[in-house]
Amino acid sequence: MGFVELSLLIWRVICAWVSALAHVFLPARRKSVEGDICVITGAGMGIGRLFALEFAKLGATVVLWDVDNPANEETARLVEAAHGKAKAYVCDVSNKSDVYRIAEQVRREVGDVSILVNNAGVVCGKTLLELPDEGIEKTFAVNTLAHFWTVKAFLPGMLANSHGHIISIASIAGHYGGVGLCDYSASKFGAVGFEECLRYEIRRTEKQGIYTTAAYPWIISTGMFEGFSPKEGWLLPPLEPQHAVDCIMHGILTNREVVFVPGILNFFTFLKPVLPMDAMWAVVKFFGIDTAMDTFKGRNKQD
Amino acid sequence: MAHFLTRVLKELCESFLRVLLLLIVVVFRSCQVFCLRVLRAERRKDVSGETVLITGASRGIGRCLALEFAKHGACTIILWGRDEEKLSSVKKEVEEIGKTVCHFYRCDVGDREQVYRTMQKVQENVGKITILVNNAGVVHGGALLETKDDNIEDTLRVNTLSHFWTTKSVLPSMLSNGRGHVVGIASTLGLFALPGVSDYVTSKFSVVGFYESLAAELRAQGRRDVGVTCVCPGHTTTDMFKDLTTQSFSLTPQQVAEQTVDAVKNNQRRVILPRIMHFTWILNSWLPGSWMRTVLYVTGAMKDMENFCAKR
Repeated sequence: MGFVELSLLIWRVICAWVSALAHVFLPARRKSVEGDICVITGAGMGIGRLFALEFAKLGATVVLWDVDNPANEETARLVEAAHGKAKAYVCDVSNKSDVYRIAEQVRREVGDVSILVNNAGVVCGKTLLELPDEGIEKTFAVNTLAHFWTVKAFLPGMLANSHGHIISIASIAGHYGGVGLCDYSASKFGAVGFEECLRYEIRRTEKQGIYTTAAYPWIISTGMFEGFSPKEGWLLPPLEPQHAVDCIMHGILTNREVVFVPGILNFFTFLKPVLPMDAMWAVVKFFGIDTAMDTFKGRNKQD
Repeated sequence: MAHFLTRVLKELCESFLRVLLLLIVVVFRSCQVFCLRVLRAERRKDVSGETVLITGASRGIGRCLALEFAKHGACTIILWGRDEEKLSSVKKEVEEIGKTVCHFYRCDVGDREQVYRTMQKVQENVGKITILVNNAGVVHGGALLETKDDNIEDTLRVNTLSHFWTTKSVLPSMLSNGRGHVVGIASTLGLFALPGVSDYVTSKFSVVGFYESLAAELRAQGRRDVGVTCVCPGHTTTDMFKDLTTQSFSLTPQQVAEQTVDAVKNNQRRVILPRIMHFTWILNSWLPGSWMRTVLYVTGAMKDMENFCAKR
């Protein structure tokens, strides 16, 4: 690396820092999503449903995907009751032919999708030796591989129109391995890596107007992690679903690449690569993550 | 009111003390690890007398790992791979080194049932495995939208899910014997992404997450007798990434093998090779996203990946 390249690098780093700092102090303008067509996976419950309501409120047509048809229809009803436009599809995102088929159907019936929210996720919540093999495969199929299929289905259309936004709702477990979360953490780490790659891949096409947002929330009290009992709630309380969605929506509308909810998690990301794992363990114990999954119940399966 | 205030104050004091304690522990632990590392005074364990299973052992890092474990006096080495011819030649090489007994089995780790079947055969014929090295890996790569679905699934099955199957089948005997070590060979691409290999990056990120969770899980159960090591080597001059024509910071498989065995002896949980990659990782998580892209363009890594991608 020559002198010119090095000085160029330093200059660009400074620029990137300054613009990042400026964003902290200057309130960024929120973009409009009116008229956009927005696919939300896992829209039947939890924050998926709230995202649908938020996007519909802002004037986007929401396309709801979920395996659970009654729950999905209920979301569609709620959106329509709030004077939004919604269309529900039954889709198992872990099945790639299902994803491709229904993506095609959406394109025909609704139009070109410009916003994709990869939100569907599952969790087993058992220690490695207790995990059923099918459970591990399912976790990966839904939490990781589904992102490949949905992106492959919708990104070409976004590239053709030079207009789009891909949002992936991962988890803070995609940055830290947790006790009793071997499969979940691994799958979410994968989603984080995929998202980082996706950013490069979009950049490489040199098309403007396509954005990505990765959201890494702490536990949200939607029932998915029912019974997860961390300590020190005064510093890291479980998130209210609406609050989490508001924070992530703000990130999406201001085209932020990465959103940690709550923001204090940014700080731990800074710590992770510099602290030795023994020291990180003290932090893990402080927040009670080592025992938090002992009382895990999860969502009661109705089916 | 006064009652309320005292309660709030009390809670604040209590949590303040806990936070203070946390900071002290974190600083103390960091210093401790740092000093031990500098003085090279970690408690070292011996790998002689261990039964080592290495997946993907027919070539590259796996082959070097087998030879390295043999040099350090491992008692039995079991090689897994898909190419029996190559495996038998590695077996010969291993047996030439010393008195290590070497076995090899044909096994495609991407196939869960095959892993379980072969593992059962190994445990019946050879005995209990005390060191498991999950090394097998594939890379398909290519631009994301052009990567075939089957290739993506294959990468994830071989690079990530196989670690679950092998670990699940050997961990019970390790726990009941109170002795064992699980080693995963990930990649620096499991810490930060590069374009053109999205399937590989996703699978390796998952591997890093898996070992982090596994280490936490064992630690929470108070099992310090079963070690976990995750090795993240940078570009290594093996067949796997021969299409990647990068000049800087390449490792030889021999170096990776040496460092891995060293890490097992020291019970190190995270190894990043070469060291400079740790620095890259820190910068990647500290600086805004556009920084990494700039670095990739300036250092030419983007161009390297572009060429790699084009050959796929």
